[in-house]
Amino acid sequence: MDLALNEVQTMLQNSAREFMEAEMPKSRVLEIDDSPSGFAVDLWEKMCGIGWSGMAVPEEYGGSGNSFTDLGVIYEMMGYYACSSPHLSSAVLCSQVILEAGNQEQKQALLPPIASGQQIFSLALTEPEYGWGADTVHLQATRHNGSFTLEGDKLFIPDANVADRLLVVARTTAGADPEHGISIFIVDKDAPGVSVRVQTGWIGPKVCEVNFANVSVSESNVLGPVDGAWPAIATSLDRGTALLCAYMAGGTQKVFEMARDYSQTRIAFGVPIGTFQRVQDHVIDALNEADAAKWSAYEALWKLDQDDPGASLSISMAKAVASTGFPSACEASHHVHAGIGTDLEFGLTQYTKRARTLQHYLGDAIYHKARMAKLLAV
Amino acid sequence: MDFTYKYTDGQQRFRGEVQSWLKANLPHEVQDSSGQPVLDQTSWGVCAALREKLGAKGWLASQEPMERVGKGLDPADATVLFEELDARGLGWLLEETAGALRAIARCDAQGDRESWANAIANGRIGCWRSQIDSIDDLDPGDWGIQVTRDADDRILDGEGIFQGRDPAPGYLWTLAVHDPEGDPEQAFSAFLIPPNLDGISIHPVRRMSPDPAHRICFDQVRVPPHCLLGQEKDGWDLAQSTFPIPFATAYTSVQDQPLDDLLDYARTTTVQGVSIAAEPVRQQLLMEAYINRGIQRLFRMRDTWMRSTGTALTYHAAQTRLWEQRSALRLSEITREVLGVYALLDHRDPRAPNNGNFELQQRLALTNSSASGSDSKIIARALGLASQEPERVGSSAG
Repeated sequence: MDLALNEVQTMLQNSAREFMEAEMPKSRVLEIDDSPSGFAVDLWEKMCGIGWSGMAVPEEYGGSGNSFTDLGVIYEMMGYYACSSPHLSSAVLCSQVILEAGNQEQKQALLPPIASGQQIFSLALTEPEYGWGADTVHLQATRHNGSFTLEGDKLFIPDANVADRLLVVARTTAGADPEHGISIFIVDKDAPGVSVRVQTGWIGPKVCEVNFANVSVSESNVLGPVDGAWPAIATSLDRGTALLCAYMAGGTQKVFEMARDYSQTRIAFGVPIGTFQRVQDHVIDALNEADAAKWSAYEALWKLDQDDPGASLSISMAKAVASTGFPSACEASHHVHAGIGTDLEFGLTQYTKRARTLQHYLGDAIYHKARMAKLLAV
Repeated sequence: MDFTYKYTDGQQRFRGEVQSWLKANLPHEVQDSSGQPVLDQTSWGVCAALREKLGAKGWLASQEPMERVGKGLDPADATVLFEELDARGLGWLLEETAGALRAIARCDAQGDRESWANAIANGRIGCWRSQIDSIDDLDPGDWGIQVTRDADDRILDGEGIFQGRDPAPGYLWTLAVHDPEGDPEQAFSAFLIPPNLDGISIHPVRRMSPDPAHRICFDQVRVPPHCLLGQEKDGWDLAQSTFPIPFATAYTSVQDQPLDDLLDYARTTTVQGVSIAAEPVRQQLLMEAYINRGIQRLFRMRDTWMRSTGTALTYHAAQTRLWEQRSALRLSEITREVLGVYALLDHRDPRAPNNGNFELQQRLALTNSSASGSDSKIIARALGLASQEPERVGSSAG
């Protein structure tokens, strides 16, 4: 047993902290959130410049082939500073789907620009019947004269508005087994028939509705086997989920620290409010959520790196913990901060918004508990 | 990183020795008690005989130095011993003994006290201990047993609740307060008292916990000087250093038989042809309990790792205890929601699921949650959330 970060991870943690400290003051977070796209080109270019976009890509395809725990260290820092970027969509989820499903030619063509950050990809999976299992994929892809035609809608797709290309998950065959009959299509965002709309609401990072109206895709742009793509998607979702948990753990840690620090300095009735037991209880609840999120996320990442057969169970446990704990910690922190916590420029609301958005992304606690029950044969 | 806890070869060898010994010496009815409290299933006589055997083996005082009364095991092996006994519902045998011995060990073990220590370490007698829900909340003004000095003797007056599984105590371990208005650190003395002194009367107390409790009244009880543990007014410090007994949080595995039993029950019990576990709401609840246990395991692992690397634990051990107490309470709620009214049937009812152990878990969880306020205070203090009360030296977790 050794729960310490190794030398490389410690170095990554320090450099990520320095980078985020310089690039992501809370005013910058708010500025990006308030922008129509929710995307900062300069920030993304800097992230790519220091190699983060290639960390999940093997060296042979232009990346650095880091472990998931290495990436988790970066994600924890990104979450701590509420960093918005298309990294999870492009550099993790799509890169992993391509790695798992693509043929050699596709990998060589698609992965280097992802690793360098020159191209941004977005995974278009969820639909009006929102969910993360194969049974919620209904968008039709119809084969006709050597090509496929996509018809239908995708909803709540992060980063589709800033992506160059989409990996569209569609149903090519209907049948009793929902995991069979699913295929992946590489679609240019600007292709005829594709339209993207940023959805509105108290959502962060931004998500999009993507409509496909009679969109034609050639067979060469099918990624992986027709009808047989789900295993590659499921594997990629697991990896992305583990990293998202690290991001959420970082955010949870930050809102705990905000609550702790504020309760030490805010004076009421002549004493710091942290002397009141009710306030202490809120701070302790936030701490418990932060530590639970952190260690469950790191265990999941470690199991991923070890190819441990129990990795999926640990990943679902970590996401159930993070999906419940991050929003709970935010609420506890709001209780401690009272009115000032709702001031957008104070900095807490950016975390609350992310907690409530990411609670659902890649599966909420209900979904992951049900998945755990299935994995445990309960 | 590495999230696997690996026992050393020495620990594995010692585990084998312990298991062999237990197989040869444990009464049949205790062999497969699966972590449940043994006293609910068997008689005191069986436990007493077993305690004497453990004492003769030197394992009741496993960590005490060999030149005194102990076996001198290193903490890693002592943990293995505790794990094996706790897995059979017998961890309390070590905890009860260790508490008394640690208190005696703080003093010069001479004369009477040395013979007491030997009797306790050999398992011939047990101690009843005055109940302290929370050492950090110990309030001299609220303590029921007062002490005054009369020449070399002390006079004890008042009453208190004592805990101990022996039907009759070999000794009474208690604090007594000198100054109800004083600083807790200076207000108490600690005593180990024979129960047959004039003026002591013992009355049973009925409580929801299966652990026996007793109300003991002290009516101008004259206590000789050798019953004083440590120096005068050392009581708070002495209690602080012997409470809580660290066994339960010192090992990384989590014995949670009630949850395993609940999962099994939900898998195998059907309502209208469908297993309880397949019903979505109940399934969610079961997984919530499973997750709580997972976090409990990770927190214990973190604490063990921190100890092993010499990293100071600040809030961590208290957080682990708090999580465990809350998880146990939540499990008891989930048990009631999954089982419905059947969850309330105890071992005497032939229709009780799991021989009534689900019902027992609910009572134990509530009883064991009584110290959660203390753990919250320890965490708050470690986080720098200053209390309005005076800070107490040496009360950090760990």
